[in-house]
Amino acid sequence: MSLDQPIKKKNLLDNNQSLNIILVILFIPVVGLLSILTVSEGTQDENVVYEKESRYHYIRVVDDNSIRTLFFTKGPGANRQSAIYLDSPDKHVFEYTQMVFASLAFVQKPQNILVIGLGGGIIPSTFAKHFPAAQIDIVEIDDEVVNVAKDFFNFNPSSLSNTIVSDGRVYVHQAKNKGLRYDIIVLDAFNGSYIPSHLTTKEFLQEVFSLLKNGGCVVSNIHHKNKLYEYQQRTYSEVATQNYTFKGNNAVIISTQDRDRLSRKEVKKKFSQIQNQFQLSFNLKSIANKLIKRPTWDTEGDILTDDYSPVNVLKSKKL
Amino acid sequence: MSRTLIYIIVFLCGWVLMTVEILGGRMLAPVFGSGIEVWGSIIGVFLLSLSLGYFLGGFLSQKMASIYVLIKIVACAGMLIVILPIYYDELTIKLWDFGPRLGPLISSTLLFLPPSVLLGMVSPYSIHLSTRSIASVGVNSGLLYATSTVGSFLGCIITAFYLITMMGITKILFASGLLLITVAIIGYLTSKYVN
Repeated sequence: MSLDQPIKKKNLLDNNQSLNIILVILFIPVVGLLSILTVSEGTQDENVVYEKESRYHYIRVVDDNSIRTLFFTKGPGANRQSAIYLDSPDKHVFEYTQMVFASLAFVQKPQNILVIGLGGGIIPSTFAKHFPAAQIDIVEIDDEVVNVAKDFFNFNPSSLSNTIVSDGRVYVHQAKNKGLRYDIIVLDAFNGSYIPSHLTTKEFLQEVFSLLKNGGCVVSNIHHKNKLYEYQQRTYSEVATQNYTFKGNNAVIISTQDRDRLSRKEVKKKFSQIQNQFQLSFNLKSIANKLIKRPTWDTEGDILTDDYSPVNVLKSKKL
Repeated sequence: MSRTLIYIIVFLCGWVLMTVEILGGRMLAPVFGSGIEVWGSIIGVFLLSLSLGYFLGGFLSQKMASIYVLIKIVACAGMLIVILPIYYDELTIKLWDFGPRLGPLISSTLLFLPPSVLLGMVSPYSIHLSTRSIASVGVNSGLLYATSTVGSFLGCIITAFYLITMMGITKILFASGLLLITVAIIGYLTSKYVN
């Protein structure tokens, strides 16, 4: 039995009504969208200095008045990834990048520093300025972000720093195998939406802590306005013995494996010493007040693990 | 001749479908990020569209079986893909307010359902066209599915590994759509004048 029907060209071309109905149904919404969206005026930023589709992000550099900002997404929900003042690129626009230097109260003279997540590079640049002899390793997943930091954000790595294009977790694993050790490790890897989930888990943090020298500290930049904050805090408490949370627009957690805990007073005292010693471009003393006294979150509950890390869900739930 | 044409069409439709799916992640990422909700929406919408396409393609093959219908389906799918770069950007920005789940889901439905329904219609329709006897329907459909899925595999890998970094989204979409339109035109001409 043959399934083929004799082809009568003319007849069939005139007669394919069902196909036309399907086509019309599929084309109508598209034509509708086209007309609505192309007629309405585009709301493009006029001040976009650079735009590039990289392997991982939609990179945008926008100048607004005297501030230059780096974005990894566009649209109304875009988070600022990094920013500098055009006239004085040494000054810190964000509070959290200043809070990162609270770490100097815990490690006085860092010789080896690891920064995961480059952005505009203000954190490694500031470390390099105050510790010209320190070896700084910077891990950034997106080579295009490295180029943008150099071209638009005044990032000039010194001969002692080493910029590695890699996933943070992959790098940490390799560094552990190589036996590398650091005094300060800064975790500041964000994608367009939040910290990638594989960089939030207990297993990852345990590997990060295994890279610390004795007396070293891990500095983490996190958001504190969503439900994920509680989970992250509990995860840090599980992995590190001492966690100091500085809470401003972002939260910066400084974690050590020290037995003893510094009091607020001692932290303040150390901050004024650092301020005098280094002549930072910002006021570290005012940051001492941001150190929280006791946990503001439920200390009992789930933590983030490789098996259970619902980062996407938790980050969109408000606290 | 027409059997060769059918195999070429099925291969290319498999290729283009997965190219667009891989690009889908990149098209939504500037606005919605590249989290698990975004990938879930895209893959889900493609699968739903395929199932709708399979149904419609099979249904249509019974109403009328002609290589010209297949050619028309492929050409229209190509057109729907060629015009994606014109509006995906504005559309995703406008849909941001729907939040991290509905935003990507509605966006991928509006963007990807129309072309992938048509691409889904290609497989069952081609099986009908190229099957000569009931006895060979299993072998034939197996061969066609294998061809289409090898196309999909290559579309995935080559787009993800090379094309995205070489060309960027707009050019790949444009080239993929144009590829389908070109094949449709060549298919039309050969079917009309060669046979």
